[in-house]
Amino acid sequence: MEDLYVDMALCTGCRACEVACAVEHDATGELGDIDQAEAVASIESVERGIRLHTSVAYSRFERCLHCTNPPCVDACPNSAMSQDPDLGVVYVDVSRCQACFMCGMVCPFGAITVHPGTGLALKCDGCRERLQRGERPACVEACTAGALQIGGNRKAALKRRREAAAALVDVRGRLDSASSKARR
Amino acid sequence: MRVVIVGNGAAAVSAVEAIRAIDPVSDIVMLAGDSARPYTPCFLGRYISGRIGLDELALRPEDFYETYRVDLRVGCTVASVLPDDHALVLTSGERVDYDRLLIACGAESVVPDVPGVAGPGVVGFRGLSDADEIRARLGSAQHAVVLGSGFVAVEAAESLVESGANVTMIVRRERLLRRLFDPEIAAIVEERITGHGVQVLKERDLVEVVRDPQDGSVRAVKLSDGTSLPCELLVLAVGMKANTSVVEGTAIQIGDGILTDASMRTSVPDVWAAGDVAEPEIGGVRKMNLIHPNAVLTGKVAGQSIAGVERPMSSHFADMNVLTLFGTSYLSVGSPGDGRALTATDSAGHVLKIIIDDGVVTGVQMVGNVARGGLYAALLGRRLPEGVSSRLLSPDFNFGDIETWPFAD
Repeated sequence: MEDLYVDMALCTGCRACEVACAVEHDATGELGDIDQAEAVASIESVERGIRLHTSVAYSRFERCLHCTNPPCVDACPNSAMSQDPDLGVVYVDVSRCQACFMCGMVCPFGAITVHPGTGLALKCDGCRERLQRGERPACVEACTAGALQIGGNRKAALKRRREAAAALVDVRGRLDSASSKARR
Repeated sequence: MRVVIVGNGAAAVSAVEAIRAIDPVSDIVMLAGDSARPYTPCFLGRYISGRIGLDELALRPEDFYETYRVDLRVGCTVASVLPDDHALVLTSGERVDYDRLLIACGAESVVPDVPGVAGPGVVGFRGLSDADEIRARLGSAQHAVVLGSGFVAVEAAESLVESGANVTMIVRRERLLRRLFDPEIAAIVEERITGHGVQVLKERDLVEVVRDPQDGSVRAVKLSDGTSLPCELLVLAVGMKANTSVVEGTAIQIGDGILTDASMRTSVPDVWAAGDVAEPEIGGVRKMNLIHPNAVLTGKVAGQSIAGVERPMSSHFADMNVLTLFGTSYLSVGSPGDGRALTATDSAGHVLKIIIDDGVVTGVQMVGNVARGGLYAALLGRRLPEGVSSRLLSPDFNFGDIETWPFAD
């Protein structure tokens, strides 16, 4: 799919993405799937395809990366998990899912969870239906801070590559100094 | 080119898709055994207990063979392979020529060598025909015995209990699932299944199947401790054996399975093997791994190689499995360890164990919410940086954490 870019530096932790995702993927269209009392008690009961982990120390997002060769599709024993040949998004056909969680066993990103209501595999479907209509994913649409961006943003991609390279240099530097210390 | 595939399970289907992605024109002939539609053995237990039907067992939609232009031949049993002639002979006497051959005919339940084991009422737990026979016998069977202590055995026991039978498991060793779980998690699984009515008899083995002298039906099983258990059905789950008989007596080399290289080529030109029947050697290590994702992977690699694109595997698929018993899931990756592990438990009974040996993650075991198990599995074989242990067990541990860790490997 078109690359989703997340700039966590811009994220304010408002969790509008999580709510927009839950609304988008709710059969009733208005969070009727979600137990209201539970939702007040814990944000986990609202989380669907995208999850934010925020604290004073750090902020992270968690969402399917829609791999090019998705291991979850290969691992699914009865074709409940598939990849849209046109859009590239990976999604679950819940009518076939047997909740065996072979998909979760092979996903290195921990992007698959259990649907709190049905107990079946739950993951980001890339807002496949919205993409088919030419719309942006619900989480991107809801992000007023501009932390979630999608596709064609070369500047963002470049920024990310630079950040990754800088982090690598930083790690290497630390490793080198650690190993030279060990040698001494 | 004419490609012949023996078998129509996960490896075979995945090979067909890989071949067609590269080569739209070659002829593909598939020699299927008992079932026309490719199905998964992963959910046989649920099929036996009636929770799901045949359609949910299907690996692919009904139009699969049409879509991929496969000449499917059902009810074919291969008698022998003639690699020098590029041909195989079916039990019907028919000869089938090939340019390239893929053997993906899977495995079957091991049958222990004890008196009375051959005959009606003693069934394996591998194929659709096994499942159908168990279903047919469950109508009259009150007592069922499951022989074995592994993954398949506990799954068989669950399905029999859910079908209304009284179930006893005969376990040779001191505990269940010793290849998957440490003693603590194995005890949790045992408690779960005994709580649902399965009787588990440990440190005992089957010595004889007692049959009715008149009609030959199963009456009881005799055990190594001298006791006898009345039963009408015995399910065998003491391991799987690769169906290597089709190539026995040929130049194709066999170990526990059909030996292959990392591209799934056998020792003979133009013959490949994949899935449960294959025993690939990768990086000097021979290993069989009878799980669905490995069948799909080896089928894909073989299919690509058959179509002329070599993408050899760089390492074996990790040992991993996940099972759900009476509504609770259990996941195991890597080595079960000896009990020393980072452990997190919660009030709902969920358990996360990360086994670390000398700073390196060697195994993961989970009870309850196992869906994010792959996140921990991705750490297998990696040396953890100092001071990250507490983060690992945190409920909001996330791949973003791993990205920032300075791994030394």
